[in-house]
Amino acid sequence: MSISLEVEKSRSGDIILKYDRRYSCSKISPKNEAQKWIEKNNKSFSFASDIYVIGIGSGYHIEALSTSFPSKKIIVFEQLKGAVKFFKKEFPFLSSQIEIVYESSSDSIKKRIIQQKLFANHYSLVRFYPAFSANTEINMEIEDFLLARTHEGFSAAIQQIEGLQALAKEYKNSLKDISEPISIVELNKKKSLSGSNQQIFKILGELIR
Amino acid sequence: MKRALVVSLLRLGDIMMTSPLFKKLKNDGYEIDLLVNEQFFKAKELFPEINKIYGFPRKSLQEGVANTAVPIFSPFLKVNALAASLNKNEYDIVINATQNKVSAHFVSLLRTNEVCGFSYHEDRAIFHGSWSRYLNDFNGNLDTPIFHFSDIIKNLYKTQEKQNEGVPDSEQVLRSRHIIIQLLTSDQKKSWEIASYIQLVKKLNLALPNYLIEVIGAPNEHLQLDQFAELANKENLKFKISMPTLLQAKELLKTAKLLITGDTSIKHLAAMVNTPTLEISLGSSDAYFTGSYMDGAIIVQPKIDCFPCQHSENCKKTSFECHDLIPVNMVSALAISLTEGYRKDLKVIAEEFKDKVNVYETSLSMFSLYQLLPLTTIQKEYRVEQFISSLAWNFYLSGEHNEAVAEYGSLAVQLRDFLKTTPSRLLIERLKKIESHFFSKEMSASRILDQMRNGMTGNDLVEECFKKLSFNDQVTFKERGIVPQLTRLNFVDLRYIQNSLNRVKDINMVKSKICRTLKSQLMEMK
Repeated sequence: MSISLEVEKSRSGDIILKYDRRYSCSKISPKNEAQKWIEKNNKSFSFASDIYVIGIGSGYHIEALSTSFPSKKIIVFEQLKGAVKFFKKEFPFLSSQIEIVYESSSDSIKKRIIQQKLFANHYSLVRFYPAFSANTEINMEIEDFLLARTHEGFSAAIQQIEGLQALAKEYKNSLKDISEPISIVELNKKKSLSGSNQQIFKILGELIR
Repeated sequence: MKRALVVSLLRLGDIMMTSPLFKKLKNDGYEIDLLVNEQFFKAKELFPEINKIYGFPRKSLQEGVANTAVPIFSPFLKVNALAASLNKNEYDIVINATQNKVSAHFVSLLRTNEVCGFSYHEDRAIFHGSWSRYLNDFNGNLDTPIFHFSDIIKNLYKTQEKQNEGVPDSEQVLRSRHIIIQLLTSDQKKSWEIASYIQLVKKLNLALPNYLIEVIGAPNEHLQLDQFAELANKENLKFKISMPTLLQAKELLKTAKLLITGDTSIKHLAAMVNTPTLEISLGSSDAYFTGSYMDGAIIVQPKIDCFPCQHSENCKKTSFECHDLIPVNMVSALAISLTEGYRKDLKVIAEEFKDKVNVYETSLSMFSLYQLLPLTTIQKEYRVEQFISSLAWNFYLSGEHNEAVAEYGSLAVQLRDFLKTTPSRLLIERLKKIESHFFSKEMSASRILDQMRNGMTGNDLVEECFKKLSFNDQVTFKERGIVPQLTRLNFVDLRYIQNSLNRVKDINMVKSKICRTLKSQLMEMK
């Protein structure tokens, strides 16, 4: 992907990255922006044990995230090599703590997700919009895949999540015709679900009745 | 030590009404954990019997399911993780004190030796025990008296030993000159008007000048508390406003002389610490099902056809007429009598206002069940049927009616003692009438069951049940689509009708037996 990258200073004095003349974070105060981003998404972050972020930006939101949730595993998905390089240079102390899934295309990122069994974790998924918008199409594809609300993501996820493997058989038989985005309500309509899977889907279905 | 988990996924008041069960389990040597909706996590501080409290993340699960920006399996994993962490505790018993599908499905994920209450096996609902079945069928579906929620929950778990249930704490508490008023309820139609409370405090200030009147509320009720304070200050009233935490409220109630309240969780808190309570039961509040579960609380209810109304419905009147029927004079007179210990005056006051208001006293000592005892003579006579039904259902649900020598006689003696102020002649006449009513119901059900055995089915059967036994009043029949003019009945429907008929037959048989025993005892007395 040929996107030109430039480095400049924000008004607050922090070094930031520009992609094709678009800022990858706030040009005024990226640290403030990162804090606000955390406050806005706080509920999602506390929901799960791991946090998956799409878009590395200039890295300030990742730094803030790691400070706010030191015990959580953070995985960042990015397709810009230059942005990953920038992060590693600017935040060397974080590079070992945070996993970066870097590949240049959405297909290869999806492959990595499957290979690394990233669906097996209990994660919340958030976008960092300034970086996400650098390549909305590809990032949306990755997001949809990780949400497992498309058939592609759903069938990959059920192979990896403990306790859901039984769904794989049901998927072959009766779940393939569910329309996208796949929802709990639609899954509940399928009588073929059984055992504890069925009970949990019933609970979730009842909660939004 | 044996371990128990109690699942209570309703509101705070319901968790408090479950506390008699905690005591029962504690007496049986259980270490008790409690699962509640996450927002009531703090409730643990109210229950010394509880070892550990777990939060069910209802709200975040709802958000997770409804929001398509959340990974689809995230809420799934959350429920799974909660069940797994509870399963590590290896509970000997799990008691579902919540009658809803969410809790029932969740309980089915737990590994335990014994389940009490509602659960699922795959798609099939399982009611462990007759009390659980009763709770499910309740909601106006049965021609029954209503058991208090606490009694039903307590009976979900059968203790091995006879316990001294329902007897109030004999410890004499030194109570301070302190009256607490809980100003609001969760629903406007259940809350007596602020203007009425102003008048009440005015009268209490005059009659009880040495008492501190403390008006309490939750932080989200501060606007109404401010409104009260503004009006009360204009009248130069003596009062205090506070917004205590639950634990602070419990401490206040422990030594208060009286709590005046509507249908609130504070009244359940007061019942837990035996604080004398005067409850103003309005709108949809149902004192039979969720009244103050203690001995000696006084409950006032308006005499109006629409009372109690449906919880989910708005008031259909132009103003809350049930509120206007509660005279401030009466409430203040009752409050003063309770505060000063003149309990005999309560009956006189109840008689004086009986045209507008029913006044009841709660009791836990009779039949080991919560009872609402009317304070006026005339009410007693008409409540005979209610008492007999209550007794009969207790016998039936506990399975005692199947025993060779059931305690009909001793229970009838208790009932007779309670009714002793009602002239025997009147009572015998009333008993004759209701006995024949119960007997005819028992016979009708028997006849229809015979007809079923002889092959009657389909619409004829449904028509017969609707005509002779008013099954049309039972919501579950409509929900199942069992209505006249239906084309066919499947096997499940037939079995449901048969079970219902057997229940009507058995319960009415027990009721008529109690009537007969009571009648003969009264006749011996004459």
